[in-house]
Amino acid sequence: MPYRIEVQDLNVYFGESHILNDINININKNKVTSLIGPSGCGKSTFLRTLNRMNDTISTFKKKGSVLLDSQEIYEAKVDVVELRKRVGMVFQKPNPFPKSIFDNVAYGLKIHGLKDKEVLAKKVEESLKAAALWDEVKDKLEMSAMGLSGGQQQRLCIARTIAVEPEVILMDEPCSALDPISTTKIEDLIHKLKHDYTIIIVTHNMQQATRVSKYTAFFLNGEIVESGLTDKLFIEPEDKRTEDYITGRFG
Amino acid sequence: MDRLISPKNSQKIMKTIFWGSGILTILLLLLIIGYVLYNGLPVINLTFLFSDPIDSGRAGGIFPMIVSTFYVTFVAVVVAAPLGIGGAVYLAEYAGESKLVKLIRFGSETLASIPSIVFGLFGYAFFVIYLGFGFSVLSGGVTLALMALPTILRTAEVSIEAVPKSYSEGSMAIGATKWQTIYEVILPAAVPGIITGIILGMARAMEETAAILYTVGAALTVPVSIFDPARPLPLHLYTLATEGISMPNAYGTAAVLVILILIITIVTNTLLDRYTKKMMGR
Amino acid sequence: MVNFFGVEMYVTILENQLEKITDNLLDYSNETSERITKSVESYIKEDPVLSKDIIEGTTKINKKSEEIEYECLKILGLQQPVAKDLRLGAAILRTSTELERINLLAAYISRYSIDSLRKGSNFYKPIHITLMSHTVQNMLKDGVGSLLSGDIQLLKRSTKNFVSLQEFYNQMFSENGEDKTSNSSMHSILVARSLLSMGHHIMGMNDRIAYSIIGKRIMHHKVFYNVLMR
Repeated sequence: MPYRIEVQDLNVYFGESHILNDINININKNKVTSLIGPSGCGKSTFLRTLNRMNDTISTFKKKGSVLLDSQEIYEAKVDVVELRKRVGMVFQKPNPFPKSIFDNVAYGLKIHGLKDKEVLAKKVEESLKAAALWDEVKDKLEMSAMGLSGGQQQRLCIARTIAVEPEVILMDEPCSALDPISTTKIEDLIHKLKHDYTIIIVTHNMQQATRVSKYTAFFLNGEIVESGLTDKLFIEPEDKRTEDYITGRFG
Repeated sequence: MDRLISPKNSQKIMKTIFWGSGILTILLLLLIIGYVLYNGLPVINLTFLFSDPIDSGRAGGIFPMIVSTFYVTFVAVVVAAPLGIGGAVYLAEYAGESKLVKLIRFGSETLASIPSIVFGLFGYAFFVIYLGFGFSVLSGGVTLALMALPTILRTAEVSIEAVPKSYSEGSMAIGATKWQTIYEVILPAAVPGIITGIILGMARAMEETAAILYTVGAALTVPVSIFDPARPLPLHLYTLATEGISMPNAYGTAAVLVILILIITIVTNTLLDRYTKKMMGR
Repeated sequence: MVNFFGVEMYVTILENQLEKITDNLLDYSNETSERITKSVESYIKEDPVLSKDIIEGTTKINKKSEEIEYECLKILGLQQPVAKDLRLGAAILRTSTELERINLLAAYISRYSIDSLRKGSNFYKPIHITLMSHTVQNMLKDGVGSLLSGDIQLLKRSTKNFVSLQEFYNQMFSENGEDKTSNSSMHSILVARSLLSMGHHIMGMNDRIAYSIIGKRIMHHKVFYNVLMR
């Protein structure tokens, strides 16, 4: 089975700091992959390397390759705007724009040039339905997005991301700022979405990793210690460091 | 533990002091406004507002002065606002922390502290004489723009920086360019602050006397072209009072000025409030 | 925090709870071992009172299995352990089940003791039975010991003992199985058979303990195969 993303010998530096060390991992298409590990060990940095969000930091340097559908994304000729359309991102703290619900979801489409009002309306409805939010907001699309609850805002951000029809969705601890019921709704949503999107999710909650992901990678001090099928990693881990982490013996 | 004043009492005392300061401030404000209005309102009627001055202002109205005020302020804002907002966007979004940036900030802060009379002299020497604009709305307007610029720049920059980084991250992550992000997300979110800055700058321009003294002339007619001389309200007020022409009319002019500023402040606040409510969904 | 060889370790709630259960399991195992001794003793010494005691005590001791199972389910369900903790939980459940069976088998041995006495006392009791009893108890001690300590060597020893156990049984069977006239030999074979079954149960338990310690499946099929195909 071909991989959606292939990372080979990736090293990431911010100035003198060596943040990621010889990362090698392949991400399977249309499956959910979790990234677990203690805080500050590079998971978020890794995620942001996949959609070139680290480019905004002036001290960012990288070695090694990152391939999306077998094509290097750090080549000069790559259109970063187009890349970020294909690889979307949902953040830890929901960050809807201070605009209406409709405008939030339509934002990505308008940015990429879509002007036809009917098409926009249709796509906004589709995205909100796909994000399991439509029923709750269909009568108040003109209302500001800031009036929604935290869980609704996060689903809105997901709707916003999938409106531009990405291939990959990166999620950086999407539920850590939410209550348990909202978390469950989002996990259910991930179950639904995985059939159409490749999802990579950073999570601190190991039960979440076991609930939603088929594959898991364990990050420690900027390296991937172990990665593979979630079931295997959590029942029969190969590396003692993995076992110590997931059984709570450290970190 | 022996204390001179018990915590409970010291709380009460501090609360009274703060409350007192607040009351005092409001009282002073009411006093000044009240005094001006008390002396000036009797003079104001429709004739006063809409007719030309007679006999250098001893009688008649202040219509040209009202027009002058708006005209000059308008020029000032039209010049200062784009410069201020543009500069703020540059400083907040594009510039790093280089020496150049530090210099720009320093220059802006210093500019804000220069006495207005110095601006007046500069405006006279440069705009009126050197560039040949003469005593005109243009000279006055541009000089006032220079005075309003630092205020607008600072306020706009603070407003832009106050916009949460999460908005721009969310925008970039969807594939927007930096400019799209600034234009579609950051600026709309910073609008309340920016507008406040512009109003502050505008208010400063409206009440300026010293700077326009040397740049705008002393005309008693309605300025039509931008090169016409003019006489905004503060200047008229100054002239009427110091040259002993007519104290009642001076009060009347002052009253009109005060009322004008009050109206602008109230209207802007209401509009901004509504905008913010709509944006933040409350 | 616990100071272990100078290295400070965080002892989690889970570890504490698992420790409690395994202590309980050790007690259960020791008592079971004692019952094996006593039941074989009741057969060899022809002591019907002892036999009856053993039989009657079965229900009470097997209550321990229920307690251990309940505590274990609580941990598995509410704490959601993973990796070695999860496998340990599974091994505990399995061990508890096997101990339950072994206790029943001990009761059966006592039953055979009473039955054979009815046929008449002073019958021949092969030495193999005593040897098998000791072997089974060693297997049990080593097996449960390895569960508690994580020491794979104990497990290997326990497994090796199974081969000896089977050997004793085969020997006894070949020496005494021919004499069909003797009823006592029938009961001896039944007792020996029960002891061998205990060995099987311990082997089943050992497989799961091995999985718990190593994280890989090493079923002792080869051992059975070799033993059966001899």
